[in-house]
Amino acid sequence: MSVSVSIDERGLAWLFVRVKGVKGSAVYRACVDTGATYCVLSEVDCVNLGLIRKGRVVLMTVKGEATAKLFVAPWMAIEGTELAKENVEVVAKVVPGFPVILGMSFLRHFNWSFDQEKQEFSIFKKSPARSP
Amino acid sequence: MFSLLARYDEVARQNEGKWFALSRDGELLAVASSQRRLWRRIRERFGEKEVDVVIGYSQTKEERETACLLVFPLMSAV
Repeated sequence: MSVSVSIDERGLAWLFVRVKGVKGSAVYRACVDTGATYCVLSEVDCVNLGLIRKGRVVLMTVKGEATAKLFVAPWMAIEGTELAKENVEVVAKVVPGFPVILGMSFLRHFNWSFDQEKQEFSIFKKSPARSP
Repeated sequence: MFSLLARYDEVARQNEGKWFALSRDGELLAVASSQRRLWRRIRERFGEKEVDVVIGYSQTKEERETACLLVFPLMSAV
């Protein structure tokens, strides 16, 4: 199971991602950011979907240090695929123009690659460990 | 079969700079100028029932033409 998307003219990859909380679920077009520790979603979305509050985190951004509320999404998946993960950490922040940032708190559970020739980002399930 | 990408792009083209919500079968449920207003409209429609929606934002021309530096690394949890 894998999903590939073309990067846009700015070099960004976008994937439809389903975020499920205790009050419902929503699908967003998420921007892949392998430099982000966490996924990012606005607080109003976190609260309305019923994500679970976990505390606060300190973030280093290009504008300097900032604190933000940390939530846990009980379930998150690439829409229409089996690429899913339970209990994904999500930072509550508004990033203008970006409904969701798909950070490493989700991406690190999968393999992914960039094809320079096709200009495509791909994400796929980790292969089972080989026996020696 | 309903194509999420095609429907998303169609609604985005018609609502530049706006937030929008689609039902699972592609019906346009709400359009708003902010996420907070969008969720107010979604809640007006669904009440406190569990929701299942597609939420989108249509970037403006200026936003589409702006290069990005998106990095949110962790320093520490408090």
